Amino acid sequence: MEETLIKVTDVKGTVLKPIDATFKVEYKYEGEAAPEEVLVGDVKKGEVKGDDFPAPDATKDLEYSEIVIDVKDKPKNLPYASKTLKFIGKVPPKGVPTDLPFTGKMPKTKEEKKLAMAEKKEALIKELQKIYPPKES
Amino acid sequence: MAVPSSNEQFVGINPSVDLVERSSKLINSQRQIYTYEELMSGTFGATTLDVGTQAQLAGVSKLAATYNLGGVEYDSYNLKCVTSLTPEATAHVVAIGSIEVGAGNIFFISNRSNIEAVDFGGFGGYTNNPLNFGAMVDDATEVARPLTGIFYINQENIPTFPIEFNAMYIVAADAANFECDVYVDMDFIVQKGTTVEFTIA
Repeated sequence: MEETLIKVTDVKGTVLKPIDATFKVEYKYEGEAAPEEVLVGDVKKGEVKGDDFPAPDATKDLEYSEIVIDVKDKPKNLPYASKTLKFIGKVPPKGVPTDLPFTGKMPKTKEEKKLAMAEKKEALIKELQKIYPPKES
Repeated sequence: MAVPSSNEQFVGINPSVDLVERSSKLINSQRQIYTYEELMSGTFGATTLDVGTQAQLAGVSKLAATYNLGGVEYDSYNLKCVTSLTPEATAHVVAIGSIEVGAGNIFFISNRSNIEAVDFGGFGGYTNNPLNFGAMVDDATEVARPLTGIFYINQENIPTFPIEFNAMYIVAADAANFECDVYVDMDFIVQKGTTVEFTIA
């Protein structure tokens, strides 16, 4: 059964559902120069789902595992930074929250909030008018 | 109605009469008083709708109901907005306002939003339909017709703001010009105990 392996959240624990990001999971074994990539893909709706994290090679000693969340730098993307989580001597726990740091601007005044909503509204109506062009009454 | 700090509650008791309750030193003026209607509708106090920049009336009120979903507890709130999509146009967007929560996601669990149009030149009177495509709208002919485009409530994040800032919009569009009145009435749940702040747009 599929479970949530990684929950892409902010530091408050809110799931960043609309985030545009990729993830990779790496295992680093004792004595090896570089970590080995074991899982990679896109974050979908703020989550990475799967049956389980891959089992580490039983013939080797796992030094650490890493989850790398790479947030794509796009103008419309949510303002959160990429992050790497490291787990010494073990695979990541299932459902681990990522606590991505906020990089945007905290709105302070009501005017600031109203202005942001008004700008978004104008942008949305322009998009709609491309599909539903204005007509004379 | 102001919410006192006490959790004590009465149902159906005249708030002008002070009663002495066993093991309590509070009088009614220090209690939250529910009418039977408020209790049954789940409304926690009066709903006050402010006037926004697009002449929309909107507000958020806390509901009495709480939820426990698989061990996670949630408080519930209600969002209301009353507005007109006028003058007639092919595309309408009304910014209702923002719902900012202290932490966690918001989940809309109920939508009772209504669309009203006039049908004076058709079968007569007014039409009332759930907010969705297919809802009856009207235009200068005053004949109601079903909207074949899109009609929905949009919950959106602002690119530079934190995820906990949820901007709410009414979005409607069709190939032909239309107008109507909109009555938004939606319930949402948030992490129990977190703050909820509404800023009208």
